[in-house]
Amino acid sequence: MDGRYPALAVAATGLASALSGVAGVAGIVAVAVFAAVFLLSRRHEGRWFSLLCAGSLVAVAAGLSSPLWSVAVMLFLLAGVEDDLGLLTSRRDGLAYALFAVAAALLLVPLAGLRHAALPLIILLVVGLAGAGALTVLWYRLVWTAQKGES
Amino acid sequence: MKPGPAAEGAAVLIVALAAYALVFDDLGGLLAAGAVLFFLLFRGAVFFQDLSRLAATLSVERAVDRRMIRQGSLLGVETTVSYDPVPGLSVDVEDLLPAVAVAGSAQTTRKIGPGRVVIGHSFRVMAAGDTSFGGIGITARDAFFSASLSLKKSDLRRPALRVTPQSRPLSGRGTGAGAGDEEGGALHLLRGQETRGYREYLPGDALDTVDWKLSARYGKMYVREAEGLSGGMPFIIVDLPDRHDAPEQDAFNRFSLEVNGAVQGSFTKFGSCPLLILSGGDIISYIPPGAGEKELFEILAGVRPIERCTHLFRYLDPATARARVRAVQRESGRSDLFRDRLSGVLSAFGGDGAPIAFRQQVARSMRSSGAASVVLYTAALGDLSHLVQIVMEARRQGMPVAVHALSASGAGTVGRLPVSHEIAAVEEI
Repeated sequence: MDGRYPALAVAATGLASALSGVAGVAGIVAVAVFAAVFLLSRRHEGRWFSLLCAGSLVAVAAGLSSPLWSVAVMLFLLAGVEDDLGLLTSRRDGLAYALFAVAAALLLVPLAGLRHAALPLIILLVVGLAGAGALTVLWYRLVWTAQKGES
Repeated sequence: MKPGPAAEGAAVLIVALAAYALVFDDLGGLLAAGAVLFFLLFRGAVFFQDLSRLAATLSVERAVDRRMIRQGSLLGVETTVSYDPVPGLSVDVEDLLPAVAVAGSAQTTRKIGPGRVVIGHSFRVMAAGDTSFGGIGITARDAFFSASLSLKKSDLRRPALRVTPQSRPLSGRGTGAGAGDEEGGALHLLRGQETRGYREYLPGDALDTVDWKLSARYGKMYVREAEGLSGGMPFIIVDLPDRHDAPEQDAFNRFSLEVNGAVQGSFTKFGSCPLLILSGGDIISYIPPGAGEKELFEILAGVRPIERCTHLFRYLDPATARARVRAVQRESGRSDLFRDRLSGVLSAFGGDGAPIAFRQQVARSMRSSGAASVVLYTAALGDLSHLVQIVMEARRQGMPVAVHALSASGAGTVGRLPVSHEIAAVEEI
């Protein structure tokens, strides 16, 4: 996939949020910063991280209009990160990312309805810990079966 | 499973966004942090699934020079590892050696196609008996995570190897009635060891202890058990040579094999093998009774000449000093003045102080070993003052000592120690 498409999607979503909400100037400035980082970091190694940081700025600015814009910007941005790291090479990878995007939207969109950040932060921490715990259990199960020679 | 630099960078971004969101109560910033957090979990899950698929599809074909080998001999192996390659996942494979083997050469890896790797290497199996390969080690990494996994399924450990004990060249004339009836054996320099009884051969026993007549009569291998050292579990002490005074590689391999064989024999017979590894006045490690076979052989895999830090050649043991003073006093043909002055000098240097730390450590380990005898393996090169301390401590605790010294000259050197009359037997490795 051409890396310009997800970047364009991030910029377009950022501009749309800026024009539709109350923080227009902040949104436009954030998109300008993102565009500058995208254009100036073309030949840099580890470009994905610069784009992720600049894109997060766009997401924060977009969130001033509506938190839902933040989710949309981040999902486009993370697709760009996957592409930049060469993780979107096959149809299977694309399908996996689409599934992730749907699952993340289903988890994050309900949180956008809350007023303050404290409760969603706790919910995110719990979900994060539960996910990390599940991965750890699966990992040690794999290590155990590999060591014990079970199939 | 470990996070790589990319995952760590993303984690820092999550923390920064969450901190901003909490301070400014901004839900947009928090959702951005949440999206990156879920993304990391998603990448972790993808990595785990890729690694599981890799482990499930991995297969091995090993080509070995031979399947029956002699203990300590070099075995060349060519291992072909095949797996389903996963895009975005970089994989390194390693052939895991048998538990009681030491590497003879570094592993060279050659890629012969997508998902097909050939590993060439060689190793020595240090203990006799049946063994097999340790399996395959894989190290996989993608952009965010890395992990190492040891796969030990039975089909990844084939083929099985049979290791026959290393035989030593027989020296000395054995006892027997006449021609063809005599069995050679190691030369006992000091007090002889008479046969106390016989038992069945166990892997690790020296071949020169086999009683061939008895074995032929009953169709099973029987070994002779020597008087004095067969009553119970031995406490094995390994005296590593100084790096600056190390024997030739072949001689050291012989020494290492002898030690491995003794440890394996003791472990097989008694289910336990207290082991003390030292070098001069330095205690390197102590394995108490009850330690597992794996732990023992992991320690033995590290047996090599080392830099000696403590030398005891300047230390005059109080008991030795007193014995020398008595000997000086008994000497005739010396003037009284000379005898008194020499006795005074010896007393001043020997003193009556507490035993040195080395002696105390050896005493503690001997007491906690619960062993009936001490078997000491030494290269017998350089300063041997520490052996005097070991023999004296064993005598104090009522444990007979047998010393296995590298080469005839080493056995001779041990035989000339001032405490040689306290050693039950000196054998040449």
